[in-house]
Amino acid sequence: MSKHDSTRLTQWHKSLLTLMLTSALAFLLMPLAERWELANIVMLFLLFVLMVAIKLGQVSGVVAAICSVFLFDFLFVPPRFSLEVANPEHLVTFAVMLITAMVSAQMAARLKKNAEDAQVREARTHALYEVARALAGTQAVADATQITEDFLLAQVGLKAYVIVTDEHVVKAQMVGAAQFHVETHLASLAVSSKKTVSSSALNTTGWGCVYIPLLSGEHGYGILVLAAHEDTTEITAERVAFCEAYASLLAITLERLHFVDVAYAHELSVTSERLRSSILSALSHDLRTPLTVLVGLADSLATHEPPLPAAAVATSVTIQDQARRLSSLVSNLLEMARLNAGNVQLRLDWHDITDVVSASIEHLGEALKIHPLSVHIPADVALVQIDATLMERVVTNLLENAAKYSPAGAPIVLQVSETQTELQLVVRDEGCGIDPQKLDTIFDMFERGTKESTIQGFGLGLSICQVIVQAHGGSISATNRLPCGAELLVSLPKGTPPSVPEEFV
Amino acid sequence: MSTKPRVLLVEDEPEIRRFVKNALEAMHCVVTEADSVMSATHVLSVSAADLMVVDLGLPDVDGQTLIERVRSWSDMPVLVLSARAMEQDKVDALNLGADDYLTKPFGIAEFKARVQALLRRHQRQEDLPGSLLSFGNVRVDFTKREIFKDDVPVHLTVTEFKLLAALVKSSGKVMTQKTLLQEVWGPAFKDSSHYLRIYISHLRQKLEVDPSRPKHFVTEIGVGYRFKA
Repeated sequence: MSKHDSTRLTQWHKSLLTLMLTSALAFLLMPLAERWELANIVMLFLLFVLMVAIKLGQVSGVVAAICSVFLFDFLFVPPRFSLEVANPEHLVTFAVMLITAMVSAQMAARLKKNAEDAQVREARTHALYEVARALAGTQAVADATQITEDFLLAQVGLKAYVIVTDEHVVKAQMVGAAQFHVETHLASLAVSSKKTVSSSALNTTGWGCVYIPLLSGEHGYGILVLAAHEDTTEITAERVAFCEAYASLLAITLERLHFVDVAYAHELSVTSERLRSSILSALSHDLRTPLTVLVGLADSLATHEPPLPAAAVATSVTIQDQARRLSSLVSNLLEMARLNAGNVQLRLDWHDITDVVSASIEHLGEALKIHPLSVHIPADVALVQIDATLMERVVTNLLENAAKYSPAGAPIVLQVSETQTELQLVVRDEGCGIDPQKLDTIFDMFERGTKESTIQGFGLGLSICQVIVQAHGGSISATNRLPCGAELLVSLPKGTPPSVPEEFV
Repeated sequence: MSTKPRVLLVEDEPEIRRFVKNALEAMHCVVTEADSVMSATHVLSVSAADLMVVDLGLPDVDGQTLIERVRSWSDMPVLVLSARAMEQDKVDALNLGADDYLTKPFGIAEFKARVQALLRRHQRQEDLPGSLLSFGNVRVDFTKREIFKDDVPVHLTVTEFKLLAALVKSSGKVMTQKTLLQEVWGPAFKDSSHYLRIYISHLRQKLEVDPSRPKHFVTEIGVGYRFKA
């Protein structure tokens, strides 16, 4: 209240001063009354009014104008020292004098106000420029909010608080503590409407009453909340406009900090991905090299010229077999490590499932020889979009399991069929089947379908299959068959393969 | 070939080098060893070779670089040994001009078969390629463009025939899908792998005994195809 009062009092003082100055001028001019033309005296009064308006403002100008007309009539216009007017023409003089004085007072005052406003604006622009520089140097959101609070308090005398939002949701992710209450409902409204929301009902200290969304482009990065400070009860439209201008600076800063975070996270993930991949390939190299030596040397013993004794050959063949088994285990482990790393990178291309199946059979070679294998694939099977190398591992693992868990001579069937939306691949064996209690967990890591048996394995094969198939957007399931054996079903989404024009010659 | 074939073996693991060298010598090859791209380049500058066996993970420079360098002046067959899990390295090596690959670990018999195929193919290329070919129960006469399966004529479309010819020309050798697409359909189609899939499937349907378990048009998964007579 005090500040408001003081301006009104000054206005009173100004009017009083004007009154006194006008009287002084009139008395100074009195000696000239008989010698000068009345018109010249009017001119001096007008000049005086103009100067008063410029110096003391519009109200004083008007006071000066009225006062001048009154004094001019009283002191100069005959009959002098009376308000009577002898010549009616002088009434026109009064009117013109009054109008001219008032209009010029108004114009002068407006000019002065404009100049003052321009000064204020210039100061604020300068301040905005300075604060923009400060914001450009910030490295953390906390710094930006601190700058905001200090700046708005200094410039417009308002308390400010910044809420950083995440994807349009006003979260409790607040930086520092607000010095006033924040109405989260209004904050949400500001975010969703992308407009400044203000509530005059909350216009008391202790409550945030203006909520400005921090928008950069179409994306919102937070909300700037303003509250009245002890000295500033009034939150004028002009102050809000200034805060909105500042808000756009702050939004750009928050956007920049956001992208710094994004870039950093990306760089981190690329680095860790590169590290993981180089560790895996170094591991793969270091594990495979001795295995290659083992397989190769054992093999050269078996094919030695002249031939070694039969027992030695048998030993070297066993060494070779075991080394190969170890190698396939290592492959599975490394594959699982790669897949488990989270982001399975699929090299998708359109493939004929026949390619995948035949490559798997070729890959398994000897291991499948002891089982009659029948393969049924429709001649015109649709192409599917898959990572062929990974899918080959799926089929290989399924066939390998079928061979491993069924007695020698038991047939294995691989059948591919199509529905409207899916390509289904089934592998059936006539082995011992899967422990019914484990049907649900068989795809988990290190889980095996039969009780601890003499059959070697780690329980990695099917979990690898599941990870790969799921990465393709497909599904894998296992069932037991009657009277014996297991059936594994892989379903892959079909998609629309690109067309190949038919040829007639 | 009356003289013994000369083989350059580029491999940094001495133990692997040892048994590979033994296998090659058992095939009556003269073997020169190198343990890095630098020493291999040096060896090649002083004496020519009929075959190069290269490990992709060499200590100094990538094996691919060596293949690219050798291909700029020689068409000697190149067999790649790859310990790497990533298919892309193999494909890159093949696209750069390698003729075949083996993934570690590999057996001696497998290795010998590949080496023999490459040496034989190279030798045959120096003779005139035959216009008659038979594999399984199929006979092909390339000059007359006639194909018989079990003595019954089989009709192949123009593209199917072109694909067959491209595969047969590099018999025993892996052909990457990029190479096949470029050769049969042209450079604009080098990424249109679905064309290749469809036409390989046609060839299998028309010429294989059991198209779902092909014996002649063999898939090299993630790499391409190989024709086996």
